[in-house]
Amino acid sequence: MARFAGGKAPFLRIADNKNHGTGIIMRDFLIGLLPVILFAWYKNGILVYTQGNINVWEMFYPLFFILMGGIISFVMEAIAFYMMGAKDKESLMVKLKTSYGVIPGLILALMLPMYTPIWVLMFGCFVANIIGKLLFGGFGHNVFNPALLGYAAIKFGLMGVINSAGGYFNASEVLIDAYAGATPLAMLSVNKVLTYNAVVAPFGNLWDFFLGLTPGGVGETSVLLILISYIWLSARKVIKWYTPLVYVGAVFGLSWIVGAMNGQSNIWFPLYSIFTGGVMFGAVFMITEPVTTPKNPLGKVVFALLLASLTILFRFVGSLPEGVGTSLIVLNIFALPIDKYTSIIRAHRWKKPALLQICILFGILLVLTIYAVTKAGSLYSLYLPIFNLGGIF
Amino acid sequence: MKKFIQDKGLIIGLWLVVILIFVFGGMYSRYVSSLVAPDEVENEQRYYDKVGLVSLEYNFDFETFTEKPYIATFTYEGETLVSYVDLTFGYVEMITGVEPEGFVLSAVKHHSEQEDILSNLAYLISYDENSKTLVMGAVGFVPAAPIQVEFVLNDSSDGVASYTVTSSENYDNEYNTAYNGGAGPTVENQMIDQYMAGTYPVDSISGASEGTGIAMQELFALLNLFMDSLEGGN
Repeated sequence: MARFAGGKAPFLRIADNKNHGTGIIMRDFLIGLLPVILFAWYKNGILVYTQGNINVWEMFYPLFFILMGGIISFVMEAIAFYMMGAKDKESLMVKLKTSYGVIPGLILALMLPMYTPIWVLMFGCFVANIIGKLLFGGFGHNVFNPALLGYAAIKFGLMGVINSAGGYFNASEVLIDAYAGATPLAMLSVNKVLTYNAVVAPFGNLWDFFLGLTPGGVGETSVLLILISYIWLSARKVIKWYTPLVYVGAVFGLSWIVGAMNGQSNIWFPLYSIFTGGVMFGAVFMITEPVTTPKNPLGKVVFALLLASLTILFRFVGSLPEGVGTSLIVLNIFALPIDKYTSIIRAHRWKKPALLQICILFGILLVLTIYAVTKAGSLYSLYLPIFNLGGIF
Repeated sequence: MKKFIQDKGLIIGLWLVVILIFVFGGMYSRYVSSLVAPDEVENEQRYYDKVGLVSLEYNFDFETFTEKPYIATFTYEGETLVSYVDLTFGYVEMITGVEPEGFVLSAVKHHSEQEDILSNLAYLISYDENSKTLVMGAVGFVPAAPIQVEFVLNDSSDGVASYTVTSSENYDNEYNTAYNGGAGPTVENQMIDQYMAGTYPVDSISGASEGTGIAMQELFALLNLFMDSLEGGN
């Protein structure tokens, strides 16, 4: 007889051992973040120090910055719980133990540029933990990914402050002329030239992108380390292995089509597309988040496909070179209907009673994908008519 | 005091942590930024300085000017390179030399925008050699709806025989109550009539917005240059 789980998300498998629960999952998640955190420290601190471009105090800053993200988030939640009635140490600890306040801050810090001022990080953590999570009712009730909400608030409001404080480039990267003050995706966005020489070569080659030796968010750049985390998290069943795969695969495929439509049908462009920005980081650490994404397997697949189309749209057509964070926030709003519709489709086994849901979901997916690819396909064409800037075509 | 600490010690401790992070974390962050931020600014100027813009000209080859409206000549690492650039001064393709790195292309765009060598308010859309019909565009008061003018050049290609203006601009609205010249292209028509009557530079028309007046002036200047390139001339 089938058993059904009720209550609030996340719904967790309790099969393997008696200690398997949200706490263990969060512990495993933190272990999954560890390689990315250590690489962020290596790339922006240790490596730069060994190259002689910073002193020992600066060497520790990336690690300090990331850890501060976690600590600030945790303390802010503690203050909020205290103000909401948990006045003694015991009740506060009970609340904190089930809220996992450290995670949004850590993820937020990993997504931000290294030279983000601490007060900006604090502001982001406030938006993430207090507005994005606790105001919605706390862990398990939030609509938006808390870290992403904090990221969006910073991205849309405080990027100027970050740029004037040093921005994305560590002390070694800032000395390299070829980077021209732009991250790989920003370079593509500014120049609108889609050739290997223009967008990949200034940063080395695709192997450098894979290793993560290119400018970007503190912990977003290394595909290799994120893959290691992916294997760990999948093996521990913390995340569903297929969600990142579908998302990255779809971004890869759509980017290939966009590249081909612009005369670049070689594999370098789709690889460049998935190796840059937050595609890999988002795929492993964000779209697998159990609370703000659909719960059923079909829902997760549809969510990942829609997200890929939106990423292409925001990244190559819109004015946001990165695209992953914004598209995920937008899609968080629709996680519930996607979950509901895909549950109906699954329950009716793709038969007639679910026809309406099938048509709506896959119709939207089709239209969005075609629109994103066609618009992106013509964006980098050789001629950019000035009236396109007005947005009428 | 003891009771106060027992009651409020927890929240005071938590706030203290926040304040300490704000103060000492902020100092640490400022210290680290202060060492790299000047490099960032210098770096930006440094890569701009490595590239010199020699000239920026219109491309009057009517086979290609739609997609490649300008020709930029620039120097990089002792070499003189020539490339086509688009209406936003973004790189299109090389004419002479090997395509340089991305930052060189960014620098060309930057210099083209900053040095104000030529305006991109008016541009060429197409030219039919047989019918001598030249279609031009100009970004006037409403950037989203550019003015489009179709000129038919005379037999010697040194003047305009006839013209048609397509414009969705309309000055006759609640914000311009004093204006009584009717909907566009009244302003454009009057300015072109002046041009055809031999007045150049053309006087602005009463009621024309600043954007439209300037755009039309730019359009006439470009028209003259185009006719010069046909070995005509006004």
